[in-house]
Amino acid sequence: MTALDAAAGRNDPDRLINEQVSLHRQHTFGHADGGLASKRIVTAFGFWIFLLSDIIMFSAFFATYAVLVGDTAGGPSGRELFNLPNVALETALLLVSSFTVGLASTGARAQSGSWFYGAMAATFILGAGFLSIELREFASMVARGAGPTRSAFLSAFFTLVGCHGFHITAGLLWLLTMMAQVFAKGYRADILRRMHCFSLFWHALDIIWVAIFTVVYLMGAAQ
Amino acid sequence: MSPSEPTSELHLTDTAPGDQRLAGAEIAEAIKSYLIGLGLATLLTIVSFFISGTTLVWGPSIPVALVVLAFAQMGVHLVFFLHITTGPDNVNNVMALAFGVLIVLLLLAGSLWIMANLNHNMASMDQIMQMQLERGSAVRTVTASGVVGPTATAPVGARVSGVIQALYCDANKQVKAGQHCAKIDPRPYQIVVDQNRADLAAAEARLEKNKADLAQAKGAFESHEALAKRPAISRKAIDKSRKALERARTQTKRDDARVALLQAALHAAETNLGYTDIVSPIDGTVVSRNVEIGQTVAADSKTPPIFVIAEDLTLTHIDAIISAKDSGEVKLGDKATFTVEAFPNRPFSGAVTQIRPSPQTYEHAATYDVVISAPNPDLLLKPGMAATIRIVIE
Repeated sequence: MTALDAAAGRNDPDRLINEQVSLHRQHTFGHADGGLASKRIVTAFGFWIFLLSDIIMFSAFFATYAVLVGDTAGGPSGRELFNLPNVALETALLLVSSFTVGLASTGARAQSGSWFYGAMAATFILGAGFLSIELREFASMVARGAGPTRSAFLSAFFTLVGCHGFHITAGLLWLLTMMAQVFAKGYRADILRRMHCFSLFWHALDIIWVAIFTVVYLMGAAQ
Repeated sequence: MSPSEPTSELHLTDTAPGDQRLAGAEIAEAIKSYLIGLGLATLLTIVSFFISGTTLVWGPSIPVALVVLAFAQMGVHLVFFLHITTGPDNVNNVMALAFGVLIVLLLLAGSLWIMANLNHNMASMDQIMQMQLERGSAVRTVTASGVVGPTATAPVGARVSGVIQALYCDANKQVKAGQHCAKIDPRPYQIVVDQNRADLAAAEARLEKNKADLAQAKGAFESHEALAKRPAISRKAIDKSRKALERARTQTKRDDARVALLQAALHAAETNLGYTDIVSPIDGTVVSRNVEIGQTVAADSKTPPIFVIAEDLTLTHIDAIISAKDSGEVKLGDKATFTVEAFPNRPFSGAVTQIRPSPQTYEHAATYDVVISAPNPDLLLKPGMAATIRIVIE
């Protein structure tokens, strides 16, 4: 692998260390034009650290939920509230959106406009679908008197699942911003870095959702 | 969207030299990675949803299986979507991930462990609410020390002597008042009852006969007396019939007394027969049993009781001592919370049910005994435990 290859991003940009190794080689060979690759590595690694810290925050909410799951204060338990077909649909939407955001990321790197915009639009629709199902679920629970103030269990539930839903909302806004930025500024290196971070963010949300549907919904309904 | 479309499109797009663009093969590889990830994640999701609702596997294994599947799916996401692999080119990312996972596990395991421990030692919710209410209204309290009082016990002894024929109660059995707990062989007492009954029947028959005799003697005497108005009968004959009447009256009176005596004897024998059923005098729990089947028990006060039955253990009382200074403020019905050394973090609650007016004087300092009744549903409070008590005096 030559320094030029590395600078041109020929290796998979998600494999950050790979590039770092190439960068090291560049320095060894005395090439100075590795600044771009270096920035990509630092940005993505920094964002990876942010994602891990976000996951740690979620784990605190998970711990809270696990401690409080039995404290229903005479109110409804998860078994009575959760609608598994809905959850399966949400899971499917989020999983496919994780795939389409991967396509969008690849499309951006390939600088293919229709591919990028199409995959991003699909991701947005899937994410918005997920969010609308979740909001409808929340609304029906509140309408049944099972709002976050009903019991410690429901407070923990709304905090945990609502926090994920808030991340999805923020992700959708970010998604629109990315589409606008690519549209306005083209496939510039800094835009591609942001796009890369966005795809990491969206994948991480799906990982958190895996934990939520397992711990909250499936285990809650199985109890 | 098939991977071939954008690849073909890629060749149509013009790009400046040096642009970051992916070659067709790398695009295909990236798409392939995402497709594998999508397939595996879908499969794992379907298995998770299937397992959560199935009855095919052993119930308690379901959560374990769900957690394993979730970890597998997270792994799939990490490898195929986030491209975090164990390869040598991924060391920093994996190190960061490992650190993150360590923190997550510490947080989860630590929280659950500590909270489970606290829950175990913590008072139930209504007790905490009560304590908060008490604290919230800025109440004054009196502190006292006391001892969990002994539970009242009732010895159950034999009222008649005999051989134990059957036992229905044993230690730790819950009994109700009047419940049969043992049976003394009733046959000797049955025989006495039968004898008395026969004697009584005989005495009653004799009484009937004597009553008939009395009626006859009375008739004879009255007819003689009528004849005596005319001198048709001798004085001697009249005296004779009068004496016969007197005799018959006395005999009837004596037989009456005998019947009453035999009735009393029969009643006593029946009562003794009833005593061969040993019954519990109170609701409570049998705490000891001192006889075996076939053993002879004697009806005297020196022999140990057959059973000892303790009153309801779920309601206990605490004998507390308050100083003379505080005695004026404590009233009947005041709420009290207390702890015992065995459960330092678990407050119990009760109410003042007795204030004894006689002081215990010790070196000129008078103290008063107060009895606090407290529910003991979990049987945690045992007689003799020292209690530290706070009596709420409004």
